[in-house]
Amino acid sequence: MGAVLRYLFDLTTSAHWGGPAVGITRVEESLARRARQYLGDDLTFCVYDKYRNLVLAIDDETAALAIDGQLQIKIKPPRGDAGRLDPLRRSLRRALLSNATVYHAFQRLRGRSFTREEVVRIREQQLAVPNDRPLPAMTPVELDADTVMISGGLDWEFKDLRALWALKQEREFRYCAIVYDLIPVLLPHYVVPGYVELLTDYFGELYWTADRVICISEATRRDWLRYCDALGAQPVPADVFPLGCDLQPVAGDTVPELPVELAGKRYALFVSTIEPRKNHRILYEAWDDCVRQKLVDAERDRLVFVGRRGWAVEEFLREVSFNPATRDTIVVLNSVDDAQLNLIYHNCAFVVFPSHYEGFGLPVAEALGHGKPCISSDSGALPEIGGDLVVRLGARDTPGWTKAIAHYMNAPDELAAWSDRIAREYRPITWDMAAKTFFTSIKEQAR
Amino acid sequence: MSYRRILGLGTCPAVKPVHGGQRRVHAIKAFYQSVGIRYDHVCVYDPSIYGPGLVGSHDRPFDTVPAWYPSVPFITDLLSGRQAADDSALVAHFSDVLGALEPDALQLEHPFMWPLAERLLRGARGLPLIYSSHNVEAPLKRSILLGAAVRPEVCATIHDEIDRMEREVCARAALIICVSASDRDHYVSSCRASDVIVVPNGVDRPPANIRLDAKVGQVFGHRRFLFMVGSAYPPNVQGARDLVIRNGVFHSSPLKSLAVCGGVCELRQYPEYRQYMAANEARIAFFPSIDDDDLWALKAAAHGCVLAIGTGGGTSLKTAEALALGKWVVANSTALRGFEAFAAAEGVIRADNRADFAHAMAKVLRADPIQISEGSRKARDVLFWDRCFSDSGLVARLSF
Repeated sequence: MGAVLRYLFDLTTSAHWGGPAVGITRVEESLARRARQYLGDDLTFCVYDKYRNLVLAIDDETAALAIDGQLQIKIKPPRGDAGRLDPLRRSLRRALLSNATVYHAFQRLRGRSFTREEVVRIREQQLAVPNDRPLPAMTPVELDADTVMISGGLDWEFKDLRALWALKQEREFRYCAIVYDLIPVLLPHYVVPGYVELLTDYFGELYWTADRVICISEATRRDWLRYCDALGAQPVPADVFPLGCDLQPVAGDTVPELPVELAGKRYALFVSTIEPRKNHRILYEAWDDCVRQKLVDAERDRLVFVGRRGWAVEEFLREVSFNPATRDTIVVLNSVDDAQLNLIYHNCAFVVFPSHYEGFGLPVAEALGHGKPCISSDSGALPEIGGDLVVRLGARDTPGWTKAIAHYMNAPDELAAWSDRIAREYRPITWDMAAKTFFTSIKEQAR
Repeated sequence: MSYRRILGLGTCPAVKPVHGGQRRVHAIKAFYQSVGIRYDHVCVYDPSIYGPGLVGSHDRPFDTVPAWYPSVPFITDLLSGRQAADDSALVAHFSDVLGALEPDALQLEHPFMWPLAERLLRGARGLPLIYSSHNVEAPLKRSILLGAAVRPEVCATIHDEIDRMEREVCARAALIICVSASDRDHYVSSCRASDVIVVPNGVDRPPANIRLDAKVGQVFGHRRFLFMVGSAYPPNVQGARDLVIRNGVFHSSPLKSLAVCGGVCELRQYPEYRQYMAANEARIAFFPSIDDDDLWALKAAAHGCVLAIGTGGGTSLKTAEALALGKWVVANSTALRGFEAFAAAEGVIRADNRADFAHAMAKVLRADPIQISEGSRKARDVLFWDRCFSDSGLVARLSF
């Protein structure tokens, strides 16, 4: 037992994000909201200035604003060429945001995709909050061997890990990072071009920088340890914490309606960004077989894809929309708000999730949280969610998916019994539970 | 009777040996001198590579690009032999050299000067020819050209040209000296050669005093680092691209931990390097032009050696050099060709794919310095040039 440890919770990603939390930002935000509860007075929130290789402390009020998306902390590069470019970038961003279609197209080029609703929300926040607002007081943290820095954000974008490694050598503080998945290293063909190099570089340096990692599933932990082994080195110790899945009641006065294409229909639902890794194609082919062999009712039954349009799916979506067997029976919904999504979940017959690989597989947890039967692939971390409450098939087993879809589309009683069992037996992991596991692990390993 | 004077003819000068072919010629010359044979070496060289001070007075430049495959890379050796034979002034020059030196034998280094040698031998009836092979050149050239995206039919034509040349040389040669048992088998079985002797590639014994180079300390401090040396010869660069830098060099913390020396430093131009530029720059120190003293200083300070060769025949001088150092060695099978006896030697790790190679490099960097046994050290004595020649029986063949 040594001196009292000080925990630095890194909010760099939330501070840069400045909009509604999604994906990794939501994880950072959910943990940050609960960090004080577990770390008490030993906690300081911080952001990282990659231009100066400094860790800067921020007060709780500033942290709360960043977590809520009410404050964007844009750390500027030192005066010089990069500094002069910053206003230009800001102007460009504002110009792009002024046209939602253009902004949407621009983000797609970067491998990101937002629904129209999200673009509107981002625009409201970005354009309403003056970006020139003075930065809050931030003071460099005195890092030392009794400091544990906790990071779970988009570090490949906002951190210079080589510089951070050098800082660690100097100050001897400890660094703990969340690892979401190793997909860019293991399955680079499923990653947006450009991100493979960025992420490979990130993991290569994370290995040297992190004293410990916390993975979001056992599968990711296994991947991480295998990755360490491939580097020929001692593995960086890894713990596991599950992501939380709190189904939020949707606020608002308007009562959502089912999209017109789904009114009066019986449908299987797949909620996911549309991109090659998610494996929409196997569902398309299975559904095509179902329709052509009249295993489903082409008038009554639908397969529904809800999600943003990702990368490398143009030809696939064209195929879906031109194929006579699927053009009217597969429904693609790209812009669905939270309230409407809840309703779509509520009315679906069952959920499908055939992904080639997942570091966690939140949609399966969400499906179970909605009380819906789910057929999932058995890839990556997916078998860790839901136990035998989920039917699992191989991600390349097209006949298996055809058979399962055809069967459950015509077995309402079986689905009802399955839903009852989910209601009785499924215990969703809340963010409170996830945070407890996360911070307990941090504290145990830090001491 | 024995040979007292031999004239060597090749495609690169031997005044200041740098790359493997030059070092072998240099070692042959030293050996011949040690047994009382005078060895003069002349060549037709590429002036874009060898400038003043690097060539001998009898050497002549290959200064035009003939129309024969003008756009095909890596064939100046082949072209220089053709041009020399077709150039009456060059033929006259080398005939004069032959007449002035009056050698007891003409030794052809590589097969490429065969067209010129053939013309010279026509005018010097009865002069024995010694063929000094450095590789079985035809398949090697084909693989290099294919790697450079040369059309397969052009590669095949060039392969056949070199193969024909090598067969003619073998048919004419009184003695063939080659670098490995597999090359000897090729010459015996495919070229019907009868008198073939193997002199493996070797390495100079280390100088008595290796000075500590301040530059090494500046770059690496007291940290462990691995050492890799090679010319810009395509198999060296290809091997480094495929096995060392592809997917980034993350085998160590982001500090210099790999010294890359010689022409192989041109790998920095390739996409595999630039893809992970920042990570690679943090870990690799390049020494593109390095003199022998500095090279010895680096080798002496290195924790281990990296041998990654993409393709090629013969044996690698770099491999002999690395094994003779008695340090850790990470090598692929191609690099170990001809040194199979050492493939399982203490400290030698064979790795033939990118993942295994990276794993081995990282493992070696974390391992303590290897202390090879006295037995292993003695076994490696055969790697030094003097032993390569004395064990080969070459002296007996040169005396009759």
